[in-house]
Amino acid sequence: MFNLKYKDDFYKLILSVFIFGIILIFLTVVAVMLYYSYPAIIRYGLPFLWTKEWNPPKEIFGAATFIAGTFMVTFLALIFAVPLSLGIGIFLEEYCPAFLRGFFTIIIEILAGIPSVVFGVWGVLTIVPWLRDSIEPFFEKHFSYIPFLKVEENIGYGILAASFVVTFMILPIIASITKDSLASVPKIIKDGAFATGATKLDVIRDVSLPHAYKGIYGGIVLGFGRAVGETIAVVLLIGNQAVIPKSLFGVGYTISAVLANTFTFAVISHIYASSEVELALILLLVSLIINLLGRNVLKRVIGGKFSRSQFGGG
Amino acid sequence: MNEPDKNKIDKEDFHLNFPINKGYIKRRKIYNNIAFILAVVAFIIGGFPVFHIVYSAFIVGYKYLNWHFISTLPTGFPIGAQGGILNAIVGDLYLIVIASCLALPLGIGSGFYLSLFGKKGINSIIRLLNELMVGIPSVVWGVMGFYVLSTNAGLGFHFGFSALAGGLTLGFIMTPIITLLTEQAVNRIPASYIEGALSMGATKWQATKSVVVKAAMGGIFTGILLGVLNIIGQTAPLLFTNYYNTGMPTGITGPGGAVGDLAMLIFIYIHEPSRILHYKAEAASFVLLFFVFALDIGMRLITRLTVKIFEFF
Amino acid sequence: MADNNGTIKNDIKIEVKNLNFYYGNYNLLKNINLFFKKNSVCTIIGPSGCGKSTFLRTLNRMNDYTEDTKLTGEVLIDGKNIYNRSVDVVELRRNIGMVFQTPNPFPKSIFDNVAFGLKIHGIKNKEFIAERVEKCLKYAALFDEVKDTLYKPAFSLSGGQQQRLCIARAIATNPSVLLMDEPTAYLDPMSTGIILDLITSFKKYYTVVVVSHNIQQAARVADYSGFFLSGELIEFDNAGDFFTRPKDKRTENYITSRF
Repeated sequence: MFNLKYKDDFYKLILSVFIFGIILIFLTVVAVMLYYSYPAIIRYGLPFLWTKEWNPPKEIFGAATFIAGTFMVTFLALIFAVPLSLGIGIFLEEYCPAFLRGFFTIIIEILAGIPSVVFGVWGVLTIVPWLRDSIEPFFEKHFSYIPFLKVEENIGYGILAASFVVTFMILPIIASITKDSLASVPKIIKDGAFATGATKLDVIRDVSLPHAYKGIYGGIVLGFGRAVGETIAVVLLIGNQAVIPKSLFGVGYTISAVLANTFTFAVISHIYASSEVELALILLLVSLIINLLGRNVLKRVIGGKFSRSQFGGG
Repeated sequence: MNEPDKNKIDKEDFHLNFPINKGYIKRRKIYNNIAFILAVVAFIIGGFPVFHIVYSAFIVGYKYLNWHFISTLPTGFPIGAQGGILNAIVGDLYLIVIASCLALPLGIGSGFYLSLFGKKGINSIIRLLNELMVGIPSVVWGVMGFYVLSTNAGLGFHFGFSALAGGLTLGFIMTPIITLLTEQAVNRIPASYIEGALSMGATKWQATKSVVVKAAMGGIFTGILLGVLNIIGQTAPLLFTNYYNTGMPTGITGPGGAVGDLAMLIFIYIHEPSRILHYKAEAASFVLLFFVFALDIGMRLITRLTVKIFEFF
Repeated sequence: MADNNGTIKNDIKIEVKNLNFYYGNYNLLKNINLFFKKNSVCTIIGPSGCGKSTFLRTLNRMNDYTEDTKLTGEVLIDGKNIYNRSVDVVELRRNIGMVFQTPNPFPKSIFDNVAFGLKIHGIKNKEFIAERVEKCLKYAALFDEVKDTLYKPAFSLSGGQQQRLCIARAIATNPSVLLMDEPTAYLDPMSTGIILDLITSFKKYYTVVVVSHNIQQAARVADYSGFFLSGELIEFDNAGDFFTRPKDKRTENYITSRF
């Protein structure tokens, strides 16, 4: 009845509908953010980004506090996660005996699948008491003269607790990309170094890392993207107070946390909701830019392959 | 040539005049061992939370881990103090089914399109979009889901806080994952398989039915499991699209359409001041971890047994 | 010959005794016995997969990092078994330079590639390093071509230049043995010629072991030559006899069919 050509055209047409669906989803998420944040963008303009006050009754909205909190948590998490992940990647690829490598890699990758809320609960019931009872008293006693390490309220919650937990959430992605980048170093170049009498450390430092640094950089960028958007664990741990933290032990608020906590109340007021969507727009833009950067780098280093850790667990 | 050749070197001198730094050779080994120990320590610190999270969830919640906990609805005051988490388990099933209804056709269909009909330009654009979507924070998806699906004012579908709105939002998150892995799975099929079918006069549709689906099955299943694994842990998108229901849903849209959800249940319980709810949150975390790990292991088994769609699995 | 035995003994640089090498359960090298004399060039020929590269790698313990391998027998260098527990692999490899099939410069500048070996062996004197790098590059007949681009990445060089850079790198740490694993396999005839000349010029100061599957090239540089076939050493003799009057039928077949 149908000739072959016609049948395949029909099949192609149906499949293109699905492709169109994907483009539609992407455009919708961008369009929704732009459309609903438009009133706030018009009303507050660029100063939205550096205004510190967030006062819904007076309709004064500025994101500075949340942006500061977000970037503090992200950078602290990166400071903890990058050396750890490098160590893990190096261990898995260079030092680990082959018969254990698969199992050990799974342990790290499984970290990527643990849901954010479970991390949050672990933080509330394990990290927070530990910080409150051991770490904070210690710093209060010995380092209170350093402003950045001053313990204002000994409650355990705050920037440090949030970034500790976020560290473990971004660690698998950076570690497994580090591992994959190190694995992409040609064996013959490493052999050349070994033949000169290099130890493993020499090879890692002088051959593997210089060869793999771009991929590692891509991994760090993706980890940054993940940390910026992290919501539920941060909501549970950061203390949720709209202040710019002056100390590592201070409480704060992040963009994602304020959205999670207040967005459903915000929708009663037009401009309040619009300001919150503008916060979401900031997150969206940061994530798009970051992922664009990171994935371009990764494509060049480890090709189009994915690792399990690139897909989170919520 | 009378003048001395600048490129000639005194070879005797070259071979004799070479200092050997014996002390450094010894020290280098120590540095190497220190580096090894640091790497091991980093690995132990990184791997520690996996065990500690499971351990602490179990040690706090184990007394609730029984059939009763899984099979009854939460009751008592505050709600959840008695009873179990049946609402959340049923709700998760609702959400997974609804999300799959959106994500499976979209994801698998697009994946097939890209590998069967795709051209370089469109493939790289769609792939980029998918990779970008994987990176979009879940709270942003929640805001999008709220305006498109949930809200009862303005534009959108006006589904209310309901399983349908929540499930579709999770479907948006799941779609790019399934697309990427389906494309990867079909691309890993040796070209000769598909070309063989096509050269015998089969249409691409027939080739899909007879060759592609069979050969890419493992990869596609991996993608589905990875997608489900991703959405059962999501909390943030559900905050604005479904929220939570302590009972059973009476529909999938509008009032009574909201469902319970494990991740939401944990999130709500841990906010309560009641100790007993904290314990139940840990018990529920353990259940959620069980599902997550089961999916993760299932995914790895499928990959092991069928096509190796991930080089680095 | 009998009364010369003592001097011959002293002339031996590398002696291999009853060497067996297993990869998993597979016996890759079967009971190899041979010796290499000081200041000579020995070539090892044989079809691909005969174990000649593996044999070369047992001489500087490069197989240490390959999983699932086992080695029995002895490799004596200057009379000491390199597989003894007390042997320092780092110092051993300083004493044995190695050049590989494909040029494998490090992702560093030309200068740093040669200086690498010096730095990892704890030489910190910058002037000495600079001087030594220059000498090595001259030794490897590369200096003229790269003297203006010493700090450019090594990957910018041509294949033949990269291979000479690898030779310069290998001799920087003052080894007494040079192992070469088909050093001309991927090079054009010009570069091949330069490298073969280099190998001949090394004879005075090094013991050179070259693995090759090109019989012509092997005959051109060799003082001694050996033939490997599926993990066995079929014949080992001085080059004159080996290439003109091989004792074993299999050697003859291999050589004549390829000449």
